[in-house]
Amino acid sequence: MKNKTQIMIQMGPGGVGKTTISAAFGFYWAAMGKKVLVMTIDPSKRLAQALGIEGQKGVVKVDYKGSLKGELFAMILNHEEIFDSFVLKAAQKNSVAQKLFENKLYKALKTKLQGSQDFTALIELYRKAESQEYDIIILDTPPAEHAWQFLDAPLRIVTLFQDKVAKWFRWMGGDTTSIWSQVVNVGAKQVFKVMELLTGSEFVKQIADFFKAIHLFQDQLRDQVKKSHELLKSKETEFTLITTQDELKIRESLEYVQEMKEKGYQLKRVILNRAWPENKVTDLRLEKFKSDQKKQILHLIDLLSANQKSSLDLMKRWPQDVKVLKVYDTLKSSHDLERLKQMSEDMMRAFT
Amino acid sequence: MTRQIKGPLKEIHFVTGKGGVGKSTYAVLLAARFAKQNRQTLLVEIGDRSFYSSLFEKPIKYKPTSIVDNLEVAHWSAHECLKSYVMSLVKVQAVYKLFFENPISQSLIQVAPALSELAVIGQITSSPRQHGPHGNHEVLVVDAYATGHFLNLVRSPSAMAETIPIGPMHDQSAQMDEVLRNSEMCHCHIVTAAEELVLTESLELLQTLEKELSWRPDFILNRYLETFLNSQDLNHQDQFLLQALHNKLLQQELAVKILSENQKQLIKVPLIKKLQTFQDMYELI
Repeated sequence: MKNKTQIMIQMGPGGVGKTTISAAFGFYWAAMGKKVLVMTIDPSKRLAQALGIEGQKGVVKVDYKGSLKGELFAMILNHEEIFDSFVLKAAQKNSVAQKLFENKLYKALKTKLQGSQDFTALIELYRKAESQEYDIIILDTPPAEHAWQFLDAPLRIVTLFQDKVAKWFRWMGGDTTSIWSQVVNVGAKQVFKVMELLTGSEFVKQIADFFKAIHLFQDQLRDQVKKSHELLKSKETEFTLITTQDELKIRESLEYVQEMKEKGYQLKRVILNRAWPENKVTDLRLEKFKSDQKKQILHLIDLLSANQKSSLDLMKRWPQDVKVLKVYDTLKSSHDLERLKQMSEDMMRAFT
Repeated sequence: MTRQIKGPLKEIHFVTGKGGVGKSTYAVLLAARFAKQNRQTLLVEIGDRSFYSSLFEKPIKYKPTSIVDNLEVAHWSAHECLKSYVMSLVKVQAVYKLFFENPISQSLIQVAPALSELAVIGQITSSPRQHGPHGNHEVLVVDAYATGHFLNLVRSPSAMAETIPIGPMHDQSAQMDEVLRNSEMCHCHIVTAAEELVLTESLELLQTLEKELSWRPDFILNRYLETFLNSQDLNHQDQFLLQALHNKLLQQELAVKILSENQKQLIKVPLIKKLQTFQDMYELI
């Protein structure tokens, strides 16, 4: 029997290079002889092309010309498809699923509801881990306003469908006269009125239909999210937080580290991407430059370093027990897969 | 056919860009410029958390706070926008409280696609639509969401109008969309950085906005390094700092090249040392 699949979750604020780092991690483990799957949300066009997953459905083997001891696979998460296939499986009867698929609210919800991407990423991760096909799965989490949305959102979707609320909407979808007889709470009547005033009766009807359809498998939904959360807290799962030296992003990351600790997730390391070198200006050897060039170089470095100072000060507040790895943006190769490989080697050096 | 715009509001400026490129700072610069032209300006941030509270060193809330002559700042979270809109509709405090403290409404707000986005756009466009609570400003500068979320924001009225074919929600959404499409009223500024990923994403956003809303956004390259050096001068260095500087310049050159290939007009905002406080920003303009 195979070992249990190791799971690595890559989190962090938007625009810090999460996807690139995830791919580099993939290279790292594949070079170490593992069978690795990188699951990504929306890679840049260039990265998707480099990995060979642009416009592809499902898992693709990365065609790397150099040598890798193991194997590297990648996939782009298609949220609509994952959501639909989940509904189909959970609904058991095709007709029930079909009814839901036709609901306008469902169509909008499965892609636009805050956290629906986190939800689909989580169920797909669970599915792939369950299959035990890979030694390691690396998940690049969806971009979000708050990095920890990934951990909260699926659970929030479940509470959304909690019985009390769903029941109320279902009543509304049924016989309207019976609502008033069934709902003892006078307040509910008022709430309903405001809702209609705000959105119109057509909209309220759509919502009621939606809840009626989704009610049939809310148990499975809850069950699935519960199991996935157990997976996230298991010892096979580790988290990496990725950030850049930008002051705002570090501030956000600090809050995030706190949040993860409180919630009991295993934060293994923090990666500071595109880090600015700490080398001293006084150590620079600039003999070969003309004097105006020399002056200009010093001016630019001073400007860029000053920009980093406040964030470096912030970094001092970082918890001691979380290891920080710096990834410098000093790669030379222009070929994308080669760059990733180089980056993974840089990271490997930092690991050891 | 464009409806006549009513109310005092003449211009809405949306500032967007990928997270961390400095869009909030650019929004401040923009708002400060309008204020100095003696136009009643409101600078608005719309995320869940307030960045301007720390910049202006005072709590920035839903109700505008005065900063300098002609400049006020407000923080319009989706929740606050929805609250004030519902309040303006029902007018009875008790009913409105009942609505918001009810788990059913809480679910409705979460489940209804784009309802929070719609509430924000509704608030932003309330003056020209003469519907819902609005102030007396001439210019609104909105420090808006980052790229992807921003698209959801400006798409929300047309999406809602399509989803719901009739009723008050449909009508209001259609009117919001009309305001957004008014090119005299709405202006967009995409702040970007000299990094390939950020730049490509910004260009995609630009093209989408041109296509879907017929907008002609400004393109701003922030933290631009003004120098006569080019990356080649610093290439093949065994020194870490020089290599890092080389990479910065290389990225910047690449960015300028990509932009000129796409024939995009570019506003360059130079990187300067002292741009930390509001006073620095106000004096710069």
